[in-house]
Amino acid sequence: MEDDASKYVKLISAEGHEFIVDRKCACVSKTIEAMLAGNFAESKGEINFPEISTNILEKVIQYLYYKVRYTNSPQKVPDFKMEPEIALELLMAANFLDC
Amino acid sequence: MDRQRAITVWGELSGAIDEIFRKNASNLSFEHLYRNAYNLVLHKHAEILYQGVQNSVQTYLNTVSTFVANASDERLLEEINLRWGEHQVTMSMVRDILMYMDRTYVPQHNKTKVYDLGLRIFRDAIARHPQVKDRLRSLLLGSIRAEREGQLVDRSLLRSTLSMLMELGIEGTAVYEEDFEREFLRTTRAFYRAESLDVISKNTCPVYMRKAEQRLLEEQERVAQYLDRSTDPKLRAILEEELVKTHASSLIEMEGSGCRAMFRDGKTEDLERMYLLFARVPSTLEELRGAMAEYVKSAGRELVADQERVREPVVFVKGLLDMRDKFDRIVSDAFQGEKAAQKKLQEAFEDFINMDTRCAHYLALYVDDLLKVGLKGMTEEDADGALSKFIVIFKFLQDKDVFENYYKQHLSKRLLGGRSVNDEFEKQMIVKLKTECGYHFTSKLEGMFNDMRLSKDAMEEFRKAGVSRVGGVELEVNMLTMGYWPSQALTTCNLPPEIKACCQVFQNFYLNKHSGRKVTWQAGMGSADIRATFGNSRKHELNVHTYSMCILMLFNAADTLTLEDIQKATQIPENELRRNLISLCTNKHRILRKASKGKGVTENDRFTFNADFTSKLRRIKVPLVSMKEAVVDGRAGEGEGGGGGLGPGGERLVNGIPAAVEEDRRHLVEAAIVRIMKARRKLGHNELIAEVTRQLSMRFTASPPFIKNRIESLIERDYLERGANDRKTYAYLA
Repeated sequence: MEDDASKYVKLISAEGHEFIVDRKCACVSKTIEAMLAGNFAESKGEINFPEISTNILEKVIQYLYYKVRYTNSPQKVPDFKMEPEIALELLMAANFLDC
Repeated sequence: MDRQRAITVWGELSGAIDEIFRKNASNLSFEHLYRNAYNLVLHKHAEILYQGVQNSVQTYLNTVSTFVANASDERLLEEINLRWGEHQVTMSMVRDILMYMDRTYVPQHNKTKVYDLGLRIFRDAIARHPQVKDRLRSLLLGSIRAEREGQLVDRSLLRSTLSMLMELGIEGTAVYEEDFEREFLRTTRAFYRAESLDVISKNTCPVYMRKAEQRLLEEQERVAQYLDRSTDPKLRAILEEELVKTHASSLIEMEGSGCRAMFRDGKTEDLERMYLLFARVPSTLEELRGAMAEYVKSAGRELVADQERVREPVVFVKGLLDMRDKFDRIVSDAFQGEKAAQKKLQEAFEDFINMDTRCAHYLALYVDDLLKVGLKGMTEEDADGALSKFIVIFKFLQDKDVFENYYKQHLSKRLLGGRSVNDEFEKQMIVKLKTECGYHFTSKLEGMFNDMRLSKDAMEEFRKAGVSRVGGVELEVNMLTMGYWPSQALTTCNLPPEIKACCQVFQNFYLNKHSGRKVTWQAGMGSADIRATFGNSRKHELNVHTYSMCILMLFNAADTLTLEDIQKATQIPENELRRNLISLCTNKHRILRKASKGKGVTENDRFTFNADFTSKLRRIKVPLVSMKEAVVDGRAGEGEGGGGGLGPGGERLVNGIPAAVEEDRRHLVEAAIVRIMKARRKLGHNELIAEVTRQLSMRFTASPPFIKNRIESLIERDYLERGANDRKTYAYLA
């Protein structure tokens, strides 16, 4: 159990939607990495993002996995698809999360 | 977000930072703090945030600094370390929540990053606090000194304090270097200067070296354990100077335990220690090599001097070989086989071996001894080993022609006297000389062997022809080619008629087979077996020198003869005559009685056949006394080279080399000059000298004046001429 807990972290959206994310992927975001490493409340492995909505957080998490999957990959990297409607919000989130 | 709102947000953040300082962070939400800081920066209020953080840290560390400054000397290091540890943790937390500011605002406005800001405040408020800075340094230095004196100190405390100083070195201020290292290096130098002087004055060289080695290790360990790596080269330079460089000469020359003693006693381990120590300062290594060369030279000269006294070539060469082995071992084991030392050793050996011709002479005597006695009963491999060892020394010899001259003399005696242990060994030796010096060097020596073989065949034929016995005399002849054999003054004598007849028969037989040759008889190099009848019909077979045989034959006709009679009848050269007569009158072999008393032969001496001669043996070999004993009036004889170039009775020396060698050299140099000039037609003086020297270097070192002499002689004889315009060039005349 302990291993599971440290292997996965829980990211919670503004709406309260919980995403269980691989720790390695989550740490692609420098902000999340610092949150987990410090001696703050988040070091337990659960982070609330009261200003990021579910659909944006989901897209961010997709990106984190995409990034881990294709970094240093010999394969051709496919484009990361995103809808133009959420582009601005996504950009803000990326700036906030440093990823 | 307006300014008022921003100040409120900062107020909340500031409270959280104070909580972090109080170590209460675990209840705080990173996300919340980060978001607040993020929003401040995003809404252009970063300046409030930056300034605020700076003030918070400053206020907090000001409080801390009072604790540190008031700590006692015993507690100071611990206190500062404790505070430093806390500071690192809190500042990294503060840095993390303000990450966004570090990422955007700081680089844009050219500010110091938050964490470094903390370091700067810590440095100024605590590490360089007036009540801390100097105390901190002297505590550190005191601990190090205590450890050098053998006490135990808290190394981890030193390590963390020093690494703190290192980390505080930001923004171009070298805190570690300024606050600690500079003074540390100064005290280190003073400490080791005093200690090394003390140790060297009270101890032997090996003890000092062990101590220095230990100190070097300790300091290296110190660097590894708690000093910064950057100190290593500086510290090492100081240690090497104070422990090694300053004392190198004293260590080498130390009476009784320095280099000389180590070389003498073959102290490889100590020498290795010295080498490794000195290798740290390459300039001292040269001194060490020089000391070795000096020692080898002086020991070598001593060997040569000893040899002059005891005349034991075997002991001498063994001494040389032992020395060579010993120093080979020293160079390969102690000096790690380094090339420079090998070269130096080689030069040292060459230096004393080529000081004069004595060594060449001793070496020739040594080989003579080996081939006559030393190799007896050895297997081919053992003999090869023994000869190879000799070659090791031979390689050092520059004037190899001098050696060849002596070798040839010995070889001729061995061949003619049949005194070699084994023909195979002789051949092995020639092969070795050939590999070492080339075909030319041994061609004459090989010619000698060839002569011996041809002689044997010819004698067989002669005997088969059935004419070899003339009047009861069996003749054994060796045909020697002129020029191959050591040149001897042609010694003629009147052979007894019986022998003469014999010789005539052989001469006819030989010239019949090889027309156009000239035969001269070298009676001086032969021997004879004669049967003599003494009183009471005691018969003995005497093996004597040919001259002695001539003398004794005269006594067939008369019982007493004067010196003059014998001289007239035999025509033997006077020196040889005296020598042979004395040999026949010794206490052991008193075949003739001499009228005069004493050792020598007087002008009017008379000799009588000693019919009372007795001996237990039937066959008696009558050896010749040495030339030295025979020449009473001290005049040096010619021809017989037994005594070599050194003792009285030896041969003539020209410029320190035997006359025969000098003569050979003249021819060799002239031949080389002509060979070169024939090919080049025209050549400058210096180029010619260089070329001649190069061509002859395998055999000997030709000195420029000597070569110049030969050039002049060749000009006189119209082989060369000087250039019409340029007097410094020569032209070849066909």
